[in-house]
Amino acid sequence: MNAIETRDLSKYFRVSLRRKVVGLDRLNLAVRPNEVYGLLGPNGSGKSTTLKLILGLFQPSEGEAFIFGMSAERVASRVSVGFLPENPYFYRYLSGEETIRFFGRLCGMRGKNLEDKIDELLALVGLEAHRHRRLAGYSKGMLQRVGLAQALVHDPGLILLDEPTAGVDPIGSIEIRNLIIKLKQMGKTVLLCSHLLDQVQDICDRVGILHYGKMILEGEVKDLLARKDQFQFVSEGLSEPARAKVREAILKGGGRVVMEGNPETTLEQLFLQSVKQAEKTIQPGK
Amino acid sequence: MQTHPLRIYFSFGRLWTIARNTMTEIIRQKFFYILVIFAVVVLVSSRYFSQFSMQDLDQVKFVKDFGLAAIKIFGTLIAIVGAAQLLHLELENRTIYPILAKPVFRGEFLLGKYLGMIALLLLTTLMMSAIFGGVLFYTEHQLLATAGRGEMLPVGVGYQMATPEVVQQIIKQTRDPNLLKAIALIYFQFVIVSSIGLLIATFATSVIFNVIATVMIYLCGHLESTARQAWLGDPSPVTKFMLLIITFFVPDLSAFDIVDSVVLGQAVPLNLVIRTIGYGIFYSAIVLGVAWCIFQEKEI
Repeated sequence: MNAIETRDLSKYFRVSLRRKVVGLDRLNLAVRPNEVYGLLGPNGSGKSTTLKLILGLFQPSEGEAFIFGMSAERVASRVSVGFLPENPYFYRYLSGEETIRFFGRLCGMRGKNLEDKIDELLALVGLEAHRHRRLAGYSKGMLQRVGLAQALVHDPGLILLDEPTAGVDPIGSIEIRNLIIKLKQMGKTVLLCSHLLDQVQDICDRVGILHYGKMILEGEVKDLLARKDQFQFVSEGLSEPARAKVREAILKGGGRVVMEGNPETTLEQLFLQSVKQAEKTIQPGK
Repeated sequence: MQTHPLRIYFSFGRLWTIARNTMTEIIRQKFFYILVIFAVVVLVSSRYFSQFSMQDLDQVKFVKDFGLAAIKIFGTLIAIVGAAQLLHLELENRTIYPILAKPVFRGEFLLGKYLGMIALLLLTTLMMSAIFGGVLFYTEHQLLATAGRGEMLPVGVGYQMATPEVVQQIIKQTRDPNLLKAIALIYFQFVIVSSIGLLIATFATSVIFNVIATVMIYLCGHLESTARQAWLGDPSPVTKFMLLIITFFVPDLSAFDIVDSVVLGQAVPLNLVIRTIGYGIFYSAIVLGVAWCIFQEKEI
């Protein structure tokens, strides 16, 4: 049974008496259990509409959505879903701990069971030190983390993350990425909507690209990105005469050297290395 | 693989969680603080204001009239503004998304918000009533002290000698159990006004529109019985139809106004009070039912 399944799921928005705009057009999506699925697309492509239909916040114009086999229109289906909205919208007057407790209670949790879960989640998202601070004083990254904690409070099998790293600095972004990887290891299924393609590439098993409400491309990340007509070696300590021999061997074998040079690191890796190095040598405020 | 229950049922636990959070939310808003502080100041200073009353020398009557009016005005303001913001803030700040993404029925959310609102109004009414009671007690204490000194007392339509009958009259007026009936009916006006505000919030797009529409209905509700009496003699079918529409849609809030009778020391039958409260609960339940139906279909 798929964690999410949509059958010809469509949503039209009426903009005037005669005119309707297509928000989502016959989407057939199947997210398998314990998979990290990336839903990509430009703004207005239908990603948020898809999430709202899966969460029952919108009613479909046509088609159906199912969560672990149950119609998404049924409130009981949400027992299995945790949702982190884009830009976390929570009560600013509650503390981090109170926020998780509020959502836990909504899920029917009480007493020691809930209190233990709050401790566990605050530790998981690294907010133990800020548990009594009101959300009004939280940074964007901290809000995302408390949002993730509330999404996980009732131990759902499916987690929907809408732009979980939007506005978060690279370190916070890496932490959230690591958390998603951890969720997969815990056996959860994750549907991730994001604009950060590098991150999606790193953590998603499969991706789907939406545009104008239609699924225009879908598949395994490895399959979609692999250039099957090319092959690459990365070597270390190879002298110039040895490189010349490699070029010669490629030509002899009927191939062609398309590119050579020093491989580049990513800006993200460079940023993280620099920050870690600075943390070792520079004392804050000195 | 995740398994979920085939069905979940309406939960009072979830209702209470949302209601309690709504109370916290309103309490932490500035308008609430300001209104409550202002109400306390007005109630406490009612004896001071009695000095400026040209027509009425009867201090007990003035304090009762002034106090009950203050409770009603401030409670109504909290009910109208609070109910107008209840849903609007949730939608504008999008705090409703993560809540409805949990296994929560929309009806539970709406009813929880409403219960939080009327529970807070109950607390506010009790608090204002306690202060009002304190001011009445103080007024009685002052008047009895004046009587003890053998001085003239400002009761009735002028100053009177402090005879045992006059002292008894003062005690009867300040400890009148009908005051509790008047406060109960004032509270149930808040209950009705909140339900109307919440109903309008399910389709209104701005707080201002909501406040204005609720105030209009509130005023119509107070004028309804006057209009009914004036129009009943009119044989025109248009007038009768108008009357029918207004009677059906607008609550008869004048039925809840027993303040004048209580201030004048007239007895109000308990039976009438219970019937009026029953009408208030019934009307609010119908309004909430309609709000529920609209909110159930609302795309968030």
